[in-house]
Amino acid sequence: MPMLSSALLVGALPALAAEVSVTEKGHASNPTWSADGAQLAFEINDYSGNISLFAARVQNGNPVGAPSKAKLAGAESSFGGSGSVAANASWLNDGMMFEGSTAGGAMRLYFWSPGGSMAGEFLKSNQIGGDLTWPAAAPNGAALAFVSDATGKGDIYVWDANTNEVTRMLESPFTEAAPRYDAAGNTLAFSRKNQGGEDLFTVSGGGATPLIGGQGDQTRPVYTPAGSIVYFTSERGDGHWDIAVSSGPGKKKILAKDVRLPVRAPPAMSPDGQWVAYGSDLPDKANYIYFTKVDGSATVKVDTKLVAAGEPALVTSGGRTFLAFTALPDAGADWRQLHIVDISGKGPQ
Amino acid sequence: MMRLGLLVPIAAMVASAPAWGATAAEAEHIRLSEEMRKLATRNAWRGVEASYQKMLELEKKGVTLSAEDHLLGVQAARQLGSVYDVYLRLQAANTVAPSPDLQGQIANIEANYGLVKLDVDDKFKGEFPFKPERMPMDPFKRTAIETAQKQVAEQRKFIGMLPHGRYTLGPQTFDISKDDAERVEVYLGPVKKNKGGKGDPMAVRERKGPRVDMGPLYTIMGSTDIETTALSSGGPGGSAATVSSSSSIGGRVGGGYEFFLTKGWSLALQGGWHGGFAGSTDANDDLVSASVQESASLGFWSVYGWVAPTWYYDDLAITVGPTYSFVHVTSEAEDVSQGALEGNLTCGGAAISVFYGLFDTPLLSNSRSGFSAAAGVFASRSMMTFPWAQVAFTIAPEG
Repeated sequence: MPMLSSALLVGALPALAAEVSVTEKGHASNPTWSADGAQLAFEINDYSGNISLFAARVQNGNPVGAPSKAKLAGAESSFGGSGSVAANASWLNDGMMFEGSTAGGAMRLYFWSPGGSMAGEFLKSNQIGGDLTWPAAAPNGAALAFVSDATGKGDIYVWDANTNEVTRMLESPFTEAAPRYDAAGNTLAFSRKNQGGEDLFTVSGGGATPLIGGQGDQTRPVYTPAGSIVYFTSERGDGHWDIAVSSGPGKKKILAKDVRLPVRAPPAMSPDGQWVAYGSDLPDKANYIYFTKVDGSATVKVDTKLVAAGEPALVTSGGRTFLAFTALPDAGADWRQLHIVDISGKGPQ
Repeated sequence: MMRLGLLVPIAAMVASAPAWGATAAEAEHIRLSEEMRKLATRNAWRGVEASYQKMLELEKKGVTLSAEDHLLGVQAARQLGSVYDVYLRLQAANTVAPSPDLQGQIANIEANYGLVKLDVDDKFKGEFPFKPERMPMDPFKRTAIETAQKQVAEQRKFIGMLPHGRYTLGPQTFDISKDDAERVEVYLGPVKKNKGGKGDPMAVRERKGPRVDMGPLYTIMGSTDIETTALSSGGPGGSAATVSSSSSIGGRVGGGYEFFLTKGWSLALQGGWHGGFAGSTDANDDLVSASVQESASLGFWSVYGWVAPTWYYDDLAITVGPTYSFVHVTSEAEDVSQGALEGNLTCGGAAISVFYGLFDTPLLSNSRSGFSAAAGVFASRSMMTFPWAQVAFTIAPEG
């Protein structure tokens, strides 16, 4: 991949950034691209207990029309509970899976095809009970892993597209979270709360295999095409979050320090899996979005000219690479806003 | 004597009857709309569906449903797994209030679903589970498939829309794709056909079995000369009568069999009885021995044979072909001394029948019962014509 120096990137991108706006007030967060780059999901969190999920159509890096909002069928089209929550979108071939609150306040999984229909509940309570969270589809669409607290703690379950049945992946006394499939759809990486913190494990049918433990939390793993796992770690303590990569059990390498931990997302990988993108938690670097090669060989940055830039998401569409991120327009602004910028030829592909 | 004052309100009621009817229908529409919305808030989709069906009945009374009505019908159909109903109701809503959103939803269905007919013959003895190669994650697509699975298991039949993809029905694997210009039809039957010996063997439903038509008949008898013989002992030995513009009410009963020809076509062979009563003649003239005019009544009966190709599509069948009839006509002479006159004719003709099957015929496999409308004409060599029409209860093979 051609590399650019950070000097070339600095100051070049803000003029190209397009803002995705909605009329609802709140922090824009958790941008997530569809695989073809034609749609961008994001959340608006009013920090009063309501989180709405939107999808914006994107053409050549520019939002087209007003973003559509995920709604349920029925006269009561909003999600229920003490607040209305629809969040944590995960794109599939023909729509997205996300977490939504029910009238009773439970969290369930919903499927939504923006522009096609209302959102519908993915699995009924007679198939699997409890709060359902962390949906993660296998790349080939053959299965969907998720977490249910039906037993009183988080357990990983898998819905099998061939049988239309749900099975519990692991029997353990611990709480598991954040499952992610590898490229082949055979192995899951996930985090497990044990001994006070979160550690990473993998499972491919039998029992869980420890991957990375240690101080603090190791969480939100995501596979690269080559099979290594990129994740967030707080092993340094004091609220410091870093990004690390593991190529196997016990092996880890820190790629970036003091990153801005996204609200929900795992580390943002480039479409080719060679780069990881992140914002910085350090005040003097908070206007940049950084890109670091997974092998640790290079880091580039782009100056957003905005404040507290973070939650990057990357996609390649039509031979071009687009970066979505959220940031405050200025230090006194109330709400984070969502931006899209074309970084074709200027960074990760 | 009724006072005029009493007539006024009665006249007013009569005059306003249509308006009152419309108002009542509108009131019912409003009630159903409110009921439907309340049911929707409780996710009581079967109730919403029932209310929507009642609304469709009101359309026949002149009530115009709103786009919102249709859209609640859309949601009910979607929840209940009938994508085809979703599609039709979206189109209805878009007709009332066109919008890019509705058009997008219609286009989305057209891009992701295809029409399909799954049909398992009663004589098919194997297992016939209906399965997608891979269940989609979209819950609405899954509901559509699960609905089809239930119908196939319970009724051995499904007609509707299913998501694009690969499926198996019993031993058959098939695809529903966006490239399908026509409805995908999959049939499991006892007979395997192999078109020209090429490709995979293909089961084709052989539409064959008994066919019965029975129902009331209306026949018009045209003008002609017929040879007659006197029935009374004192009557002449032979005569001829002229008959014109007579009509009769009667019945027609036929039974026979349909033979499978090829997909979409069968051949019906039928014989039956065809009779009319209570006719009257406008003119009657005995050309041999005496004038017989304006006889009071006329009757006839015939036995017929019908050979007719049948084109069929699902429950619709159109049968048309030639008939041959032996007709016996009876006419009373005005001159009592001549008694009744009767004559025999042989007639050629043609008949057409349009049948729609409504339900499976009890105790008869692969047979549908319903109603048909038939019409035809038969004529003697002397051009005495018998145009006729019939509405019949019909039993016919399943198409």
